[in-house]
Amino acid sequence: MTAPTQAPDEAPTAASAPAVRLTGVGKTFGDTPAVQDVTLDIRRNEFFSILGPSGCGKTTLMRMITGFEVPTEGTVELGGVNANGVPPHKRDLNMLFQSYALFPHLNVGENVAFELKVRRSRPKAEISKAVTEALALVRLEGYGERSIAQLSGGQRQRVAIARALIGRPSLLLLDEPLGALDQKLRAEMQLELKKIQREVGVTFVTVTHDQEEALTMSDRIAIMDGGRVLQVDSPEAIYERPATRFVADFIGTSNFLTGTLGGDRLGVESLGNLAVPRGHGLADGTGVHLAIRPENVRLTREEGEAAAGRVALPGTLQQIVYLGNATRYHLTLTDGSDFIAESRGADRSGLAMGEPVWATWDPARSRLLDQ
Amino acid sequence: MKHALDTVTAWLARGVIAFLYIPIIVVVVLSFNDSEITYKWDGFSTRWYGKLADNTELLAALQVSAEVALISATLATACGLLAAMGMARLRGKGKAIFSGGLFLPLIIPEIVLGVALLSVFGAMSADLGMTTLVLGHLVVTLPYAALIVLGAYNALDSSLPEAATDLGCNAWQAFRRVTLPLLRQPLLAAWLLCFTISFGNIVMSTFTNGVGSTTLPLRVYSMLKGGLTPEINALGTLLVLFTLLIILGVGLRQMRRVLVGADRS
Repeated sequence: MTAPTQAPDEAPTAASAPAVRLTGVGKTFGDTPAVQDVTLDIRRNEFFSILGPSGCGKTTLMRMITGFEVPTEGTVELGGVNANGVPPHKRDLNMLFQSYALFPHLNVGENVAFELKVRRSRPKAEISKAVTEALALVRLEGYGERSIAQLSGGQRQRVAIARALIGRPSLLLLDEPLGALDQKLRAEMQLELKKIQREVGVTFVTVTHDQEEALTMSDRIAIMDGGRVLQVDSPEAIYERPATRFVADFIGTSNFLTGTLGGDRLGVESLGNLAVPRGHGLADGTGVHLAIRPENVRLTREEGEAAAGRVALPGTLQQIVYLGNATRYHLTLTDGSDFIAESRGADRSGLAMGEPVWATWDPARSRLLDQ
Repeated sequence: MKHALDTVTAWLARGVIAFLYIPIIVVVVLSFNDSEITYKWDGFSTRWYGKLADNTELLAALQVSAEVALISATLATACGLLAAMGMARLRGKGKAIFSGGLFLPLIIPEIVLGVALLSVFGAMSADLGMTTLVLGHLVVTLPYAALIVLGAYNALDSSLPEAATDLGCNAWQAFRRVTLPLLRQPLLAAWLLCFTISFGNIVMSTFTNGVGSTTLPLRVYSMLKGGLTPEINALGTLLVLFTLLIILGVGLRQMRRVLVGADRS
C-alpha cells in the first residue's frame, strides 16, 4: 500500500524545520505492533489532529512525541533536532492530559505556576505575573486561590490549558481534549481552543476519535487505523477526497458499491454498469469501491425524472429518519444492500415508506477508491 | 415487629460500645484509687502517679517500647512505600510472587515467625537487643504498612506523576512534589497503625528482646506473677491521655479522612 503521506518540505534548518518530523516511526509492545512506519511533518503553528478509532495507535504515537514512550523504530525530530533519547522533562513541549491531571494538593495558582517553579527560570514576582496572564488567557481571572475540587469540568480544563501554556512550549499535545465535556461546552471549547492557539502561536496537536472535533478545529488531519497513517490532509480534502474506503467511511457517512472497473463504467454484480468520475487513472479490471455521500444522492419516483447524466439505481424506501437539520432516507437496493440518501431540513419528498424509488447521483460527485 | 427488632439492635450496639469503653474508664478511675487492692475503692489519691515516677524499671520499658515502635513504624512505612512503587512496575507472575511474599507474614502465626527469627539470629550468633527487636517488629508491621500504602498508591491517577514530568520534573522532583504529598495521609495512617501494633506487641518481643531491651508489654506481663499494682493503672491512664493528644494533634477531621482513605483502598 502506498502511504499517502506528504513529501518532506524543504531541507530543514533550525528556523524553518517543522515542529515535529516523524520518519518511519514504529512502536511494538511485546509482539503487538501499535504504530507502524509513520512518516509525517507537523508544521509550525498549525492546529494538527491525529484522528482514528480507539486502538488505532494514535495515543501511542502522541506518547512517542512527548517522550513517555520510546519508538522501537524510526526517529522523532522536534524543531529539527533528533529527540530520540531525550527524556520528557527535557522536551520543549507540554501535554494536556485527558483527565487534566491537575494536582489536587495544590490550588489553581500553584498548579499553573508549577512548571515555572520547577524550572526555576524566573524570579518570584515574574512567576505571579505570568500566572495572572495565563489565567486571563483562559478567562479564569481571580481563580488563583481556589482549590481544584471547587472547579467544574470546563474550568478544570481551562486550568490545565493555562498550566500547560505558561512556559510557552513550542508544542502542545492535547489528548482527547473535549472528551469529558458535555455537548454544549464542547462546541464552546472547540472555538476557544482554536482562538487560544491563534493567540499564543503554539503548535497544537490533538489526538481524538471525534471526527467533528477534528474537522472543526484542525488545519490538517492525519487519519490513523491499525497503527498506520492513511491520509494527511486538510479537513475539506479529507471529506471531499478521501484516500481509502476506511477514510470515506470513518469521516462522515458513505455508501459503497464494490465492483470491477472497465473504462468509465463500474461493473457491479446484479446492479449493472454504473458511470464513474472521469480521469480516475486506474487500470481496467481493477477491483474498486465507489463511494457516494448520502447528501449527494437524490430520490425520485421514476427513473425518467432524473437529470441527464446522473446514475440511477432502483430500490425500496425502508425508513425516513428526521435528524433536525436534515432528513435521512434508508433504502434497500435490488441486490439487497442498504443505501442512504440525505436532504437538508424536514422531509418534503412526499415519499412513503415501502414505496419503490430511484436513487440518483452525479457521477462527478462520487469517488473511486482502490483500497 | 420491625420496631421491636430495631430497639434490640440499638441496645445491642450500645452494649458493644460500652464493652469497648468500660475497661478504659475503669482503668482511669482505679488509677486514682488509694487502695492497694485494685478492685476495692478506698478514696481518691494520686499516689500511684508518684510511685510510677519512681519505678525506673517500668519507665525504662516504656522508653524501649517507644523507641522500638518509632523506629520500626518508620522503617515499615518507608519499606511499604518502596514496595508499592516497585510493584507498580512489575507485571504478571513477578507481581503475584512479590505480593504473595509481602503479605504471607499476615497469615503465618506470629509465634512461628518469632521462633524462626530467633533461629536465624542464633545461627548468625547475633546478640539479642534493640536491633533484633526492631527487625522482629518490622517483620510483623511491614505487611500492614505495605497493604495500606499499596492500595493508596494504586488508586493514584498515574497521569499525575506523568504531568509533573511533562512540566519539567525529573524523577526525584516528580516524587517529592507530587507523589509524596498525595500519599501523605495513607503514609500517616500506615505509620500510626504500625506504631500501635509494635507498641502493643508481646509475642514477637518475647523472642527477639535481650537484656536491657524489655518492652513495656513484656514488663507488665511479668508483673502479673508478683501481682499487678495500681501503678499499671496510672501508666494506662497516661497512655490513654497520650493517644487522645495525638488524635487531637493530627486533627479529628484528618483522622477520619485517613481511616476512610485506608478503608477505600
